[in-house]
Amino acid sequence: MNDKAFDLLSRLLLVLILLVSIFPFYWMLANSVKSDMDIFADPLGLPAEAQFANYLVAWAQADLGSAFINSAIATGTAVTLIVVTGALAAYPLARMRFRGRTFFLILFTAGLIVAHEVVLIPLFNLFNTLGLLNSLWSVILTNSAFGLPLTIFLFWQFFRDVPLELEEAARIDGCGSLDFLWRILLPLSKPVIGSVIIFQGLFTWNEYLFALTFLRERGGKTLPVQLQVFFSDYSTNWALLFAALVMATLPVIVLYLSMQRSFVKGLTAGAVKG
Amino acid sequence: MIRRRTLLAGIAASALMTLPALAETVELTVWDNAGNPGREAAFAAFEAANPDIKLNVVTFASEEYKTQLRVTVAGGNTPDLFTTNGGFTFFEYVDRGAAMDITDLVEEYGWAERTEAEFLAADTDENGRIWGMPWNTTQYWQGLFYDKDFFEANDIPLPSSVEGFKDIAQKIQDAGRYPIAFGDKDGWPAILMLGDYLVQTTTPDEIRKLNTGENTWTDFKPAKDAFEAMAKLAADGAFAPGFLSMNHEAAIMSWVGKRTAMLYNGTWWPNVAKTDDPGFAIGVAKLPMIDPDLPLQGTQYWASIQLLMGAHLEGEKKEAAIKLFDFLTSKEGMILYGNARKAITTNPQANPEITEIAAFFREPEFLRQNDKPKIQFLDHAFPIPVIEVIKVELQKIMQNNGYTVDEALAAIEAAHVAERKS
Amino acid sequence: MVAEAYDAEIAKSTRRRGSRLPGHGIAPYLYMAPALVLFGAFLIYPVIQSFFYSLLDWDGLQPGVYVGLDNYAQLFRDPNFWNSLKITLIWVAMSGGILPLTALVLALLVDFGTTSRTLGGIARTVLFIPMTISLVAVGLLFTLFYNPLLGVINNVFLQFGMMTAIDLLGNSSTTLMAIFFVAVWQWSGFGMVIFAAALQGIPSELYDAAKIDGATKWQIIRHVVLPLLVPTYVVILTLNVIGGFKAFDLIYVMTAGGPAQASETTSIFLYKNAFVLHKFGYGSAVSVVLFIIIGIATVVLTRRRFAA
Repeated sequence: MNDKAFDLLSRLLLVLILLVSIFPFYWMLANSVKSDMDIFADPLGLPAEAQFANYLVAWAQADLGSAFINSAIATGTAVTLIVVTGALAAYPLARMRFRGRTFFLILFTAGLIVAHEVVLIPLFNLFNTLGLLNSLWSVILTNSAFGLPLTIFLFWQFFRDVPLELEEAARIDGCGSLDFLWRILLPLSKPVIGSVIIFQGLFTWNEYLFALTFLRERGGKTLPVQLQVFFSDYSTNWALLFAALVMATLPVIVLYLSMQRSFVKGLTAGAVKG
Repeated sequence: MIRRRTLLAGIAASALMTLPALAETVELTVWDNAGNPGREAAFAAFEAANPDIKLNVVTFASEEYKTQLRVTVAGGNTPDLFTTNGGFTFFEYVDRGAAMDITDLVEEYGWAERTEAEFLAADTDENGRIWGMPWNTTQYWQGLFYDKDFFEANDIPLPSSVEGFKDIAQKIQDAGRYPIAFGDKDGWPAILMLGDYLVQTTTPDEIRKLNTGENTWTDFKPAKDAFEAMAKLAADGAFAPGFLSMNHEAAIMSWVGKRTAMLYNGTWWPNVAKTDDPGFAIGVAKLPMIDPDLPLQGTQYWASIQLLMGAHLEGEKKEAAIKLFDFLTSKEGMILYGNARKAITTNPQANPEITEIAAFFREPEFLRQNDKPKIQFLDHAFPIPVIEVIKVELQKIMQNNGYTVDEALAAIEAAHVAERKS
Repeated sequence: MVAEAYDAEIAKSTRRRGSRLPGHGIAPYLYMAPALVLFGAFLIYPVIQSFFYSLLDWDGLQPGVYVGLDNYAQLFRDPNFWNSLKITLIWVAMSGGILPLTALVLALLVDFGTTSRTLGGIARTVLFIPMTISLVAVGLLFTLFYNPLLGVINNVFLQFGMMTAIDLLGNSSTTLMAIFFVAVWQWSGFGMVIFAAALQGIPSELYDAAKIDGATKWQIIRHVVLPLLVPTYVVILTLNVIGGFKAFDLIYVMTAGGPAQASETTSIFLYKNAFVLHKFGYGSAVSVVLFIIIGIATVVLTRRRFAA
């Protein structure tokens, strides 16, 4: 296939996929300013008169101010914990030889297997005993623990492939192992760090089951749980829910926008197209 | 970085710390299902009249609520007051020791007059101890809401027999709508419909005998008739497409939005539609009958939610809790409750004074069920594992791909046998 | 690759010096300590607890009764369990077969199909947006879409004059695939990010050399890029397979395992036993068995990578 055909085909495909990707979000946006009856009467259409007030109502009804703060604290702390402890743990696994290395590697990555539902009850009892129910720490600590397997795996992968010569040169310069990690390895790992921040930030921000179970008090809940306000036994306040969802999703999109620069280097992009 | 974390932790901790309460205020933690305007009305009135008692309400949507309540009680954090479904679930909490024995209180305060004898009996154990009281609105199911204007304009007869419903379904479709809106995603309306079909041909007592084994699913003709009726309805296109994946809300909205002509649903549909006037006249029709000449043998009409107090209560908190319990179940409290939910309550003293009752409660279809023998809504009449099997078997039957009623009944019987042993 | 070289160096040096262990001492353990504490307390400990729960007959409310391996015996006789395994395997096969592929296509399309960095950035962001919406919300959105009476899809059919209402979710034979489409819509972004990071790792000299040789973009992709992406592909495949075994939220929100158990994966079967039927002991046994199955699958898929 020559370049012209390739370009045409790939543009076509890309546009198609972009439309499919964005459509539900557009739908959510469009319906967030309708009234509920309108949503059911004319699901596909644009709103007749946009009710932007829905956003204010949703903000107030779901107490989104405190929910945003709680989610931000929980996500920020968890991601920090995950990146720091994960990188530290992956370092020896990738670059040092010691007894039990394979064991620990398998142990950490086996954590991927564990589903949230399975450990809900033991964790609830644990936090109950520790007195951490209703504290954001319950959510922070669980999300951190569950975020470690993927994180360690990604760091491990990346660290392994850094050339030996680099480390030898550093050692000749008198660099200790911690120095090497901090001053050379980590700066090189920007793509991985970027990916980890996005994934773990996303997972923690949207995490629902643990937050629902451990955070009970008014004013102490994270966003996904607060959104439950729009679901009652009988019905769902769709328009308000969509408005709240749009607001809840924006920070993650912003996070992604800022992080993705870390793994898109300008050089490669130019070399391929040019 | 470490300092930042500590700072963040400090912020988090102080954000969550409750301010010390005034010495005189008692705080009660109450758990209930979310979206209960009746509770909201009653609680508001109570708090206004009792400024020294603060009510901390914890709610979840219904399925989530059952899980969370269980988890919290299992963890030793029983709420001060809480609601739960009656029957088997109710007694699980009693057996656990989570509930306060209120037999003496009932005696002392005369609470027995505030509800029907059989409802109170359902909250009483074999030793005569009472552990809770009914607290909600009740409703009838045996009926189909329908769009009077549409039926009249298109000259469509109302349902009478299961046999004859196929024609009616066809006429409805010819006139541009689908017949019955039925949201059976969670299997719940189907099992209630099964209950409705069972009481068409047998009495509540006979149905209850399925729990002891005196009647078995495979040998109980009413069960076979009921299953076959529902299978036939499904095969004849009585239910609007998507009924096995639609939730209640979607079903209701499709009826309110005039895409379906009839609705099988509880009397709480106005809460979903957020109006009780969808722009057409509403009637209540009979469910297609297995035998149109046979009168109803019973009705699903029951106090499905019970209110309990925690066994751990003592001192000031116990007094405050009793005060709240007393108010909520009283005539005054129940009038507030019933008006907010626009339905009749479990308190017969309050019912005559509830002014906001929806019009359809006065329809002949509902009134004719008034004095029939009562049974719990079927999803609380049997142990939970049996209920879950019934839901699945009903879905299999209504998919109409060769699965027989006999196979379904055998599966349910097998599940029930396991429960009868224990 | 590097690790083997590293190990070989150490081996060489230790052979020369005659000592047996390279001199790292307890350093590795110190590095891993913080992660181990977190991991041990909040992941391993609860998992071990659930091993113990699996030996009980426990309804979550009353104290449990020890029943040894009875739960496991019952499990192997339970046709619902086997049904759930079958459905899970179908889902896993779809996850492993399709998700890495769509992720790859997306990553390649963004890198090679866009002409400028900003366009590429925008495209990548738009393609990632599905991942940012919470699973519960996505499930609800698409349930509305699929609704034959009210949904968007059927509205489109109506515009074209068709009166038929197609029920994809309520039909046992199509429901799993209908839900999987949503999974593709959402989860392709995950693999795309990882592929994008991997694509950055390809030295630009390789592209330059290929262009000097007169290669077209398609040829570059086939002969230069794809072979280099194979390790990443395997990683994403493994992650998608593991995720597939655990799949719960999306399916539960959309169909709760129905209709008539047609989409009841083992995770949902586990959840129902534990949280609806209140058989926590039995549910824990399911989770242990699932854990073992996923463990075996993972080992099979990653044997070579860990053997360094």
